[in-house]
Amino acid sequence: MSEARKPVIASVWLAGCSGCHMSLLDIDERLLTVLEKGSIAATPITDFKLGSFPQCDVGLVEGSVTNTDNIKFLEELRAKSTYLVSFGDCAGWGCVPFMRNFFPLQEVLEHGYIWSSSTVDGHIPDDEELPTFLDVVEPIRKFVKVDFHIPGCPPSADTIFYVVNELLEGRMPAGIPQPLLHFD
Amino acid sequence: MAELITLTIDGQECRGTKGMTILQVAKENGLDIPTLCNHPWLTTHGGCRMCVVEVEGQRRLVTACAAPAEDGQIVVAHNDRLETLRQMTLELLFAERNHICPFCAMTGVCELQDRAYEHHITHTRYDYIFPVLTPDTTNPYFVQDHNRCILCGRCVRSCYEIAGVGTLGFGHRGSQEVVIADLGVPLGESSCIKCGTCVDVCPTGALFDKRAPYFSRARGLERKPSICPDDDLGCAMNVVLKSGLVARIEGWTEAPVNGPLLSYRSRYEILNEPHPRVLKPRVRKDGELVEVDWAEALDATAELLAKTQSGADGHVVGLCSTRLPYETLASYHRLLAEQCGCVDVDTFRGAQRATRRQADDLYGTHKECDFEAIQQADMVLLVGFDPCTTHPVLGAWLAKKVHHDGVPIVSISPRTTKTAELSILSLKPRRGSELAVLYGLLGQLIEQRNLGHLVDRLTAEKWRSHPPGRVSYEAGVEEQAVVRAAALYAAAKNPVILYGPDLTETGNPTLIGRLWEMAQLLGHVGASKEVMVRGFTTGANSAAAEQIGFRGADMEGAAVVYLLSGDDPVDLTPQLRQDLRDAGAVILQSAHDGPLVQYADVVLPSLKWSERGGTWINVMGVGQTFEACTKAPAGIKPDEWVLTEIGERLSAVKEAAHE
Repeated sequence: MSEARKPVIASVWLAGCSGCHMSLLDIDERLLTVLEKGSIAATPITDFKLGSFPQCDVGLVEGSVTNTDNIKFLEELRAKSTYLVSFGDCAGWGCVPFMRNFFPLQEVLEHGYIWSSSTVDGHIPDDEELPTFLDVVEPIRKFVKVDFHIPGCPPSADTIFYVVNELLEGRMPAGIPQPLLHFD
Repeated sequence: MAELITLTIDGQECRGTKGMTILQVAKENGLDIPTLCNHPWLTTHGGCRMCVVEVEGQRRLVTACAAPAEDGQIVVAHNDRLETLRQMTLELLFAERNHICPFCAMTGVCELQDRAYEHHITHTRYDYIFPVLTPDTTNPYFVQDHNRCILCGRCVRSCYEIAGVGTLGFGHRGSQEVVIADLGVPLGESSCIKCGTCVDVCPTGALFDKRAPYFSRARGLERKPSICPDDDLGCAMNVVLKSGLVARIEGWTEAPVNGPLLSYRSRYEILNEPHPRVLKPRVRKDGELVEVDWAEALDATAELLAKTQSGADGHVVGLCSTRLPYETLASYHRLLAEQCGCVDVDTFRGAQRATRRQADDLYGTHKECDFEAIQQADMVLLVGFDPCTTHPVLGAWLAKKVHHDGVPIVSISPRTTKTAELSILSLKPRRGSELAVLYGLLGQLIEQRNLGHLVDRLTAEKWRSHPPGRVSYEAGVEEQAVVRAAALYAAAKNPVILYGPDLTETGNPTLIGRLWEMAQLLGHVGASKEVMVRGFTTGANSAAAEQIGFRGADMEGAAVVYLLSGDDPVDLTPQLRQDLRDAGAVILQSAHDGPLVQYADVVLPSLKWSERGGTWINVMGVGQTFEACTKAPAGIKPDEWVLTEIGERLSAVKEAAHE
């Protein structure tokens, strides 16, 4: 009996608080179901360099795009995954990272690195190795095509499991049923 | 009878009457058409485009909330095209402002969110604009956050249509459009009367209460109607409860007097308790108030009352709040008048009622006009009355008359009043010279309308002896103002005179008599002989107190003063201070540890407004009965129970004395 190839899932974490990944872990024992039906190739704690991201069927993205590195990771993930699913309000709606959009970037950096009360002789990090900040934080759909978005801050474990399970079963969900859909 | 019509909505046959909108017919027939800017309290706006429907034979989409339903119409309210359009509308709304649900105060009870969920929106396809908008926190009670605003205009309409002030309006155009106060000033500095109606009607988190913003509008909260104990209009409100505690107060559509309109006092101030609660009875021992159990405190109370009753050391004086329900007032009156034989039982601010009573005695009983007459008046003369301060809901009605119908208001008050801003003319006589002004007005009326034959010679002489020049000299008002005030009154078809606490507290019934004369002189007497004059008092249940027979109290030489203040913020005048200091003993039944406590020898805990149930009678004699909304904290007994217990103890003491 030849078994069909199990779908591969990989997830990344851009500018977000990791709360969405915590919520992903909150699916608890259903994680076993996920592993039964598919496999997980990469998570935010997997050490991989740009260009070495594994090929996958479902790419999950948490967080918004705030610097040039985010864009590179995002583009690589888009290239490597068949379906790109963003989850969490940072990735899709605008959430805490977006609050800096209401101030000029320079002011935000100065607040963080120079003016904060515990800082002595602060300066804005300017090493060439460091990624550059974008002027405004944007949702990921601004840069790549997103196949499905799960809203929520964070999306509840049930909502995440519902979508992941649908994808593992080979169905692209048409939407999120009422009690599971929430923006907060 | 209205013409019946039948139309088809989504294939279902729907019945309605001519004049209804498509939305109304749909709702009446149990069909759902999504809306955002529509609100049952307000006029139709047709601005959000959520309720767009297809009507057969019409080229364009129509808004169901505004389109009149017609016989034989075939309407489609739900199909893929409409669904897509509604989704787009919602997505555009989300993209336009910073609708960040996770940290919005209204998340979970937001109508924009509800519509998005109903339309299966997981994200918006449009780019965010990220406009920089600053919330306005200058209002003491609520916040206006433009970030969450969808410009549905509900607040703007409620401000004009319900509150009557029209503070809120739209400023700027296109994508720059925002809701502004007056000409763009901060809300706290605007003409806003802080009634909070806009907060009630806001579908999103663009307007929310500062008090308990994150839970007070959650779903599934219990709501109980109650009454505002602040003035005698009898304004009812909806108390929103969370886990048995008051979360917020909102307008109650079915309120018989005020509808959904509330004042800042009943909506917000009532929840601010400046003093801690009295939780246990206290008795003064060696100069100090000591907490004791109920039995001891009640014994002490009965003993004090019994002693005064039997001996010749003076009399008992009872003073109670007018915020109490009829039942409690009656029990209190029974205890003091019947069981203690006390003749000096009154309410705080009893002078207001006393003046009216004296006027009745002097000039014969006059029935005064009702709300209906006030609503229909084409001119309002306010005498010693500042409704915008003491009766804000009435103030809002007057504002509506001024702004909607251009009704002139003339205010005569020795104080600087808030209502003066609404008035076309305001006269500020020196304190004590109000009568001169009224004589001056009467004299002017006779002269301007040539009514000398209607009054006897002596009276006419008296009035004529107050020409504007003399009034001006005596009262310090301008001559021309007196002439103009009289002219405005004389020119009106249905003028109404409203007087308030500032007039009645002068204790001069002649003033009321002059007002009645003024109405009668010009024939402003209704079909059922009521004069187009109405007096107002502070204290919700003044009318009940009057009915029960609270008839003035002489504090002079009081041996025992029994105060039932409840949660009334008693105005501690120098006179009252002195009287309490001079009294032999003071029994205080109070909910709060306020300034009265220092004078008390016995302190008994009492209930506050939300813990009381009973009947309130408003100024027009309309009775409203409500149940208590919240439970009293442990250890606090109902006022009725306390009064009964004292009565029983008093009887026991009496019997013992007989034996």
